Amino acid sequence: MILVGLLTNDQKNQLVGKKYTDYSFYEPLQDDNNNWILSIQEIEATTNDKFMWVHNLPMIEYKPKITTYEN
Amino acid sequence: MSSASQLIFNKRYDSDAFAYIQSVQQSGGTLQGFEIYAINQLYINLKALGLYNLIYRLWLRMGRTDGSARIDIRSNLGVFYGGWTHTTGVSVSNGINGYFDTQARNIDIGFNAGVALFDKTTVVSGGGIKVKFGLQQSPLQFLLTNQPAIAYRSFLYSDGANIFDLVPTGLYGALRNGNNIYSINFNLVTQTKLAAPVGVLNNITFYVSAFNAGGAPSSFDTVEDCGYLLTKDATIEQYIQIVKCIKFFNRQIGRQ
Repeated sequence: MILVGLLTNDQKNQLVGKKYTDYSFYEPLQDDNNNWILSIQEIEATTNDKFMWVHNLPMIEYKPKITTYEN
Repeated sequence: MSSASQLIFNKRYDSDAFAYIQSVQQSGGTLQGFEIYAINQLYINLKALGLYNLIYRLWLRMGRTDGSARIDIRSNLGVFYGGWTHTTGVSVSNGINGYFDTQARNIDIGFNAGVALFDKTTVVSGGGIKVKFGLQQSPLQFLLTNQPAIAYRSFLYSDGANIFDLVPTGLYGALRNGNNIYSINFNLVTQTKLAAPVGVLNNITFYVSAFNAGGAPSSFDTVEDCGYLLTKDATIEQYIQIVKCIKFFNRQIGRQ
């Protein structure tokens, strides 16, 4: 089971386009239930005071979006 | 390092290898002696075989930090997105949202760029290879736009002995998920007499670089960790030679 942090929409908006290290950007994505989530690697690597709140995110099981074919 | 000792160091090392090693270390990366030796040897080998200038970008993924793993032999432009870990010898995506934007765009490299950034972690059913793109356009649009290149050497794979032309299984093979992540399933078509059976390679996933930032989560390579883009001038034979050099480098630093 893969655990990920659960984000609110506002929290997601705060992270998009922001770096969690000098050369790594946050990449929130939606799971199969359209929850915005953040990976454990991004959470653990966060040391920026501005985003330390990610360490307190509730953790949920990761459920990937179902892939669909596109013509 | 003093200027005198640096001069001695420079004499022992290829100047471009030395510059790369310096960049890795200045970015906060750490290199052990055997890794420095392997890097230098790779540069020497590529140059001795006349291959160095055919490589548009080559990421060696050294130094154990994102700042050092982003550096390729030509630039330090790439950036990481999502979850990654950088450890000894490898940079590993979490397979959920981690991808690497090479910052190499189509306009820079032309249509005949070689493929790169592959892994062996994703099983693809049906004896094919799945190529993942970080494109702002769909694979269908991409294929239609770049179809002439597809037929030649836009998408090649070599295992070091054989060359494979990756042919899309059909435009209907393009996949998309809810996060604008695209992939295309390819068949392998051998181009040499020594072709390995397709079945041998059916668990290899290519990750063609994120030409445009658009999201390309991939289970990134944990073994053969180099990514590369070749210029359109590289022949198939040269492509194979380059792969061999990279594989030799991987073995020298302990990658399989």
